Amino acid sequence: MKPLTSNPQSPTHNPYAAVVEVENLAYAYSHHEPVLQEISFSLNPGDRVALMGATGSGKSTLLENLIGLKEPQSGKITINGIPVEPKTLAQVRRQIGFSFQDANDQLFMPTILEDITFGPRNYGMSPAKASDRARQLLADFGLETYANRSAHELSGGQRRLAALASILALDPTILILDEPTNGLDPAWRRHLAQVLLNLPVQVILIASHDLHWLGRVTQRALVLSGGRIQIDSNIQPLLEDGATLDQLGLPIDW
Amino acid sequence: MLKLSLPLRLQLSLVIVVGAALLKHYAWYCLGVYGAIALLWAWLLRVPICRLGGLLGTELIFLSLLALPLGWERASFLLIRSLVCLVTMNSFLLTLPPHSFGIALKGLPVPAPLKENLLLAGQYMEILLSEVTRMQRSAQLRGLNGTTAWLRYASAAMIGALYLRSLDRAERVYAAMVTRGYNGQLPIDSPLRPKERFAILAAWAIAACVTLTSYRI
Repeated sequence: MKPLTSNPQSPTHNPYAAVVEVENLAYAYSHHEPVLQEISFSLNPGDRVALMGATGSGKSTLLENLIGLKEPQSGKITINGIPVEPKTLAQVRRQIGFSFQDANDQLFMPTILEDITFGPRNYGMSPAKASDRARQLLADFGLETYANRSAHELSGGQRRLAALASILALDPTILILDEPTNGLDPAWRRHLAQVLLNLPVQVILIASHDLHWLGRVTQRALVLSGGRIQIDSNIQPLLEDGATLDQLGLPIDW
Repeated sequence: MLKLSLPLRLQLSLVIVVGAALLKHYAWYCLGVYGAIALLWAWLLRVPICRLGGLLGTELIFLSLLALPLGWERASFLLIRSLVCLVTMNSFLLTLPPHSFGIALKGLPVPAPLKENLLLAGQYMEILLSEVTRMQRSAQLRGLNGTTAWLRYASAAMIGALYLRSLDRAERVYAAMVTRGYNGQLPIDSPLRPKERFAILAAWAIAACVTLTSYRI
């Protein structure tokens, strides 16, 4: 797998500043108990971070707050120095590539090529240039023969890669993946890991239950439990601490 | 099979159907011309004859029930005209590759908002159908059986669940669109090359001549 073509640096990029900064974030669904409380962390250039937690711990909710799909009750999120607010959403989203749990939710155009050119063309890229970029990405992922086919003709693993290509076409500085290995067999999980390890993005944040796979693609772990970040540490020692993971509802060997 | 792109095939099919539909009543000669064109179209697309025949039979039985009360003379013209249109559109649909309905819909000459809705609906029809199939299968594997009232209740529950899941999916798809900069308009390419556009213009010109001739005869 050859590395992807390099992406242009964000004009606001400062190699010494945090790319993602979250301060005292709190979020609750209306009339319910808070799902997230006092969430604070920062992600720096080069970070490959796993967001872990038991089912219902708020991983997806946190990710959706980062991209502005949900508005927190309190706290502050900044992306490359830009606060995430209703009036800055377009700017923020331009920098973040967000991959949803279900790849089908992202593949809605008649052909795979159009799914990948969808984002760049929304941001003003010419159809020809967007098409070239899309074909390059498809070639990098080994999907070039599927360019003019519908997503329904692809296998689960191919759809996952196509969905990933559709967000990489925007040259994001931050990549956020929500349960990327759902429904993938071991061969596709390995293939996806190889792709992610070669991506030229500043930060990758992955929410997943696949602990062993996370150990291969990330160096740092944030563990959510009880609506709070209970652990922020290197991932390898954490994966070796079965007792702690068990307490947090993440039994690694059972 | 003739190598034509799917949007071009859809457009040419629509030319034949619209041209035939606008013929003056009892213009048998012009209808004969369209009939020959429809048969040529079916031959060019290499339609499986048995499947086409089966489909046409079912459709014509239904149409004859509607048309015969209008009187034999009128009904015969309407049925033959319907047959021409059905041969054309069924030829297109029966030779459409799997999962390509959305690609063909791109060629529809309709306003952009309608086209976008049709495209998205077409894409998700397959997902909906597969969800319905999975629900039915899981119900059957659990021995779905019983009184009519119970079966009606189970069906209603499945329809309700499908509706809620569709709403949920619509929200997620919309979120996936806005996170990639969706601004209210899908960037749909014009799918036709210049040669194809010329072919469609020529087809429209021929259809217009034949149809207008029916009003002068």
